[in-house]
Amino acid sequence: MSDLQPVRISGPTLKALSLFLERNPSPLSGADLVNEKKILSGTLYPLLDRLETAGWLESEWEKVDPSSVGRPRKRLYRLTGAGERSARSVLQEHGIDVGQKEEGRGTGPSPGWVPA
Amino acid sequence: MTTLLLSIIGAFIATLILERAPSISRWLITRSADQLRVGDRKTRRDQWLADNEDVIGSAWKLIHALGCSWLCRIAITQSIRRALRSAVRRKKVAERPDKPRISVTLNPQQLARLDIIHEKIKPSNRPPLLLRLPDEGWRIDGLSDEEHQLCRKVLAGYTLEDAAADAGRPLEEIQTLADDIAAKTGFPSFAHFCVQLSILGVEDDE
Repeated sequence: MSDLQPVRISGPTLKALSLFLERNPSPLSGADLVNEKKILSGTLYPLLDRLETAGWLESEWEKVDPSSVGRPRKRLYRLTGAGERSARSVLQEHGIDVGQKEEGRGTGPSPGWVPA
Repeated sequence: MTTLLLSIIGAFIATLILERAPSISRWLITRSADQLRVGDRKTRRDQWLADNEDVIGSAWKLIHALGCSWLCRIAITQSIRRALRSAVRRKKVAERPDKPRISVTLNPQQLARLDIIHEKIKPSNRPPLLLRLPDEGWRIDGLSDEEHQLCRKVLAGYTLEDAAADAGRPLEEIQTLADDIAAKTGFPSFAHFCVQLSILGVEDDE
């Protein structure tokens, strides 16, 4: 975690990090976090900005042509290597089992997820 | 009977709103994002609109859009606060003379940024910074009691229209009074003068 800036760990931060880990290395959009973790947008976007600025997440624009798909491009976020290690460590510190899905939510670790 | 009628009307309105949630959400996000800084406007609007399309459920779409709108309001307040703070050379309380020396320290670019206060921000949306009163005991050399009173009203959140209505005087007279204050203090406009004064007022608390 030494190469990352610290971030304030709040409830929504833990929820977001757990979903990123579950889906890692697949990228997530803000809508995924709203739909699956019910994080309100007023909290979500500043949170994503903070995590990205601190080096936990990286983001890129969806590689589609907006005119062909008929909607704006999504901004997609994924954990960085150091972010993944830090996220797992933080979730374990808070007693959240990152290897199992949260009760009643989520789909469990994605095939790309490698336990520590 | 009235309760029943109100329930029916309420349910009808709620249904209408939820049916139109996607278009209301898009409108709200677009309108909110348009108030952001030019550099952020397109990226935020695209990101939020794309996410809003994918949010499941009409109510959640609306909640998402309202959250984005709230974020814009916060961002505007913060950017104005930053602009104000960087626009005016800050003086430590200890260095400040007994009678505040008001001087223009804004460059044209900063002045342009400050103009958004009057052009973009509605009275109800003004940042708290502008609502802070400077020390009541302060007086600016050369200003009359009437002019001081107007300064305090505006810094307390009154518009010039409000101040005119409150004083029972025509708006033109109040506008002239404001212009006189700007001329006497050497500021390009009354708005710039009030900004300087509000910064000094904030520093009082530090």
